[in-house]
Amino acid sequence: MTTVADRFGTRVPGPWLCSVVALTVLSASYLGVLYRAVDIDGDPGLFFLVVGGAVVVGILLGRFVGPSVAYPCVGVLVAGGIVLYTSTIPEGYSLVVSVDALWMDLVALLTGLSIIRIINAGVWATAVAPIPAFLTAYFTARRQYGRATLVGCVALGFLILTGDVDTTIGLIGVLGATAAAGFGDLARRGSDLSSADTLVIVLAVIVVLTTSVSVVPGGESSPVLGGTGDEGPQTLEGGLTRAESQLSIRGSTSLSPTVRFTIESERRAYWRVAAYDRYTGSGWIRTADDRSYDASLPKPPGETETVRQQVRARAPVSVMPAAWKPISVENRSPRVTEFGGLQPTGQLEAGDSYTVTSAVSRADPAALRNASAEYPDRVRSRYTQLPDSTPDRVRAYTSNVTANANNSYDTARVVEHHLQENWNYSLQVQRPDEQVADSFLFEMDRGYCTYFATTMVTMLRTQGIPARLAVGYAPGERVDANQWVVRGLDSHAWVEVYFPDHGWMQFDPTPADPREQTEQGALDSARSDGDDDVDTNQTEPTPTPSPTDEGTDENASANESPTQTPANQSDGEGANDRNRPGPADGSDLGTTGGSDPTDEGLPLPTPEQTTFGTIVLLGVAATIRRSGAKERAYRAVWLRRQPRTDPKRDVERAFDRLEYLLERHHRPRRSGETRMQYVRDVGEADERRVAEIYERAVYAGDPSHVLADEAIGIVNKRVKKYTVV
Amino acid sequence: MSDNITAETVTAEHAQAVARGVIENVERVIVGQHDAVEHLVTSVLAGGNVLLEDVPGVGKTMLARSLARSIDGRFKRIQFTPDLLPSDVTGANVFNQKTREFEFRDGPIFANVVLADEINRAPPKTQSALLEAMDEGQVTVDGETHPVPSPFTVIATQNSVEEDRTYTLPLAEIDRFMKRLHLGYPDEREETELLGRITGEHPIESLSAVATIDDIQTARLAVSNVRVEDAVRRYVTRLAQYTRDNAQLGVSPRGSVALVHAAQARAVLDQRGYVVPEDVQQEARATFTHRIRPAPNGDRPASLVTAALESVDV
Repeated sequence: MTTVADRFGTRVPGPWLCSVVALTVLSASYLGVLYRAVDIDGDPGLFFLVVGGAVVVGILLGRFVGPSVAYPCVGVLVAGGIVLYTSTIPEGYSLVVSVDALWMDLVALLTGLSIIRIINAGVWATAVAPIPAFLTAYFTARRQYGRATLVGCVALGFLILTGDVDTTIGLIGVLGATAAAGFGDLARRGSDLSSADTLVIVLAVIVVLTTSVSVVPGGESSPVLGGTGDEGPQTLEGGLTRAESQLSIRGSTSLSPTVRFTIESERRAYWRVAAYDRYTGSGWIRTADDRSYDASLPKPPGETETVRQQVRARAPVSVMPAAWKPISVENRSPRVTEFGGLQPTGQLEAGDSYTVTSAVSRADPAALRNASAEYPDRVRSRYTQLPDSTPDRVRAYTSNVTANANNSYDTARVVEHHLQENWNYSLQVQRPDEQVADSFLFEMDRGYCTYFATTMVTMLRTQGIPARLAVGYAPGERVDANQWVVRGLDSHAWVEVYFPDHGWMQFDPTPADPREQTEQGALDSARSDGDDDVDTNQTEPTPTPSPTDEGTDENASANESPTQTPANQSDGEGANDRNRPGPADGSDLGTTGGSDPTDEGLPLPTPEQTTFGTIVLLGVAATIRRSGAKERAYRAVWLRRQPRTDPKRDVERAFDRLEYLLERHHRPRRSGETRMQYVRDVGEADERRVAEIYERAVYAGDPSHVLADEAIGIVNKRVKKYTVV
Repeated sequence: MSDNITAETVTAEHAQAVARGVIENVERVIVGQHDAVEHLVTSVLAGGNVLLEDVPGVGKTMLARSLARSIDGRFKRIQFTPDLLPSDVTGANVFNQKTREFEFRDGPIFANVVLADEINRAPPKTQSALLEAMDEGQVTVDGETHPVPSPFTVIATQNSVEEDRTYTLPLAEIDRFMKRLHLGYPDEREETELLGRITGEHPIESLSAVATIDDIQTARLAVSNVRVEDAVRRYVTRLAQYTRDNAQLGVSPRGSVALVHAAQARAVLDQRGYVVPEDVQQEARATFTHRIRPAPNGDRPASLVTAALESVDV
């Protein structure tokens, strides 16, 4: 049996190297997740320094010292991490309280709190990362691959529990762990790589099962590599469905044109549900805690106008939209987020209603232009955060666009206008993997509200202007002087910009007309399909659905001025009070829009797909090797096709073919049995003739072409006879 | 090349005719020992000496005599006894009273076929007198070298019973025999026929020579010209190697040479100008077995050779 080493002719690196590579992959999987947190909110340089230092020290200690120093080192790392983290916790907790808080954090993390939602996520990651990195390096250097793998598994498992590891990363990590343990075992037994084919098959099976089988029906368990674009019947729905599951929208804000709320309000407004502060490059996180509502909410600074809204749910929902900014709620006792979002403590049933009072800012552009640029530290650090990996060209581009604006308000207006004018509205986009804002600016020419809003927030933050993403519902269809019907497809995402002394002002960079048209299209088609949920009594479509159009048009134009956008107040709840905003709701859904078949050409496989594909191919190859299929295929060709060389070799090969045939139909030739004896025993006259020719050719030194032809001719006939089915 | 082959084929045909004639002739006396007869004849053709080993009375001497009579050459018989002296074998210088000089008087070894009967009853010194003749085709007496006639074949017999009254042949001497043959008892039919033949005149008395010395010489030439290809040579080497790997003392290179020569003679018997592995297999037991000293508790030599034949790839 030839080994891999034989086949390549040279020495192949042993299993220990493969194990080290696999451990590196495993470590990279969880360090990558931690790095993401650092990238979003932290100091990547420090992170790399700490992790790299831990790895180097681990290797050195493992090679040259030993456990007597290494284990105390772990203690030092833990202590150092705690000190580093607690020292940066704001509001100066005392150490004791902080230790307590650490435990609370730990429990919260283990029960699904994403690490990105930790207040100092970057510092936390920097404090944690060196410990597993050190231990892995240490055990690897001591050739204790099993322990090194265990450390990696614990680290990866922790991050899986926090929900930060997506299926792809998790799969890569698990593959790394499996390979590390397997190859480590091979290395310990001193085997060579030729015995690794079982391991390779196992890895391939892991990939195949993970990517093709969903044990948990529906929901998150969609296969990693399965086509995302070819799922839903409509392209739009495909993206939305996925978005929904990711947001775990509680039945309220699917794309459907179903009516969600009817809102009675003195003013039209954007019905805000929630806001997000932390941009991850590919999505949004809300880091704020929520708390119980206690009688009233703080009123925003500046001149405001009170707007009462009465909101009646028309379908089961678990959000409480309200015009910005709600200051009191009646009939309900919601949870309140730090960003002024409302969230019902339970689900709202159809017919439930609440009343919310909002204080809508009346600040005019002039006042906002004159607003101070002195932002409080907390506001600045929180709302100008950008991932460290955000390309600089975003900043440069924004500076260029806003060169003529000399205050925050004008900058925001310019950016808003720039996006509205230069990008098209479309629900069908190919979602970029990372750096949504950058991709949208430089690679895409279309998108929907979440793209526009995300990009605008990113651009403003590059200019040092505090901004955040808000989600909720567009005003909807106006059915009466002060009554609006809000459907699922009205869900929307926009931008809030902070102005000292005025609070958060709303901007909407999404081109209004195309959005309205798209929504109206969806509504019309739903109506023509006979859906009965899409209308209330008041909105029964007339032959010409003009009122709706007008209503939405008004909405669109109303967006032009931020002072108008802040709208009436009634009750509201956070629609998407979720860690990841993604597609806020409804019609133009969030950042995670599905990949739709609008792109041209064949999509290039991602690195993950390439890796997984390679592993699967290797597994198939290993299976083939174990099953001997390759040999069989080779045999089949070998048996039927005999290239001619010199007579002696021709005769030899002819006899080999004959022998193969006879072996299959009689018995193998025993060792010590001459060819002639064998053929005499099992063969027929023709075959004995071949053996005679063989002996003449090989032992008499008398190979002639005539004899070779004769032998090959006989064997060819036998092959045909034996192999005809 | 094809001319060569044709010439060889003609010679091989002739040699086969001679060999078949001798075998047939011997079998007029010897019943039921076809294999042994063939082995004996091929040994003669290959220029080797043979050791016949068996219990008394199975026809060892008769076989040797029959062979000798079938060939038109000189035949001598030496009965080995414990008091036999080397000069009794080789001959000696004796003083001629007339010429007042020593002159050499041939011993019984100066013959074409020498039957050394019960060789293991003579002391080693006498046995060794045979060695030079067997190996080099000459004897040296008092510093003078005398060539033995050609062809020259020693057929020795020895009893495998009464071991306490015999001198075991040293291994070095045994190695000089090309083959050691066992005759064994004839089966019922053969023995009955044998008994039928001895009534009246013993058939050996009426046996006449069927081959001349020249015939034998030509046949020997033909045998030595038989082609032995690389593949066959390697096969022989592997067999020998196998015995060396599995016994205290395996087959010597002289044994391998003997096997190749024997196989050549065997090929001639089949009228072939080249050796095939089957020839080697047919000769391996007779040429290898007596050269092997088994490891303690190891396989007996015969089983070892069988194992070699079964496990070494052709």
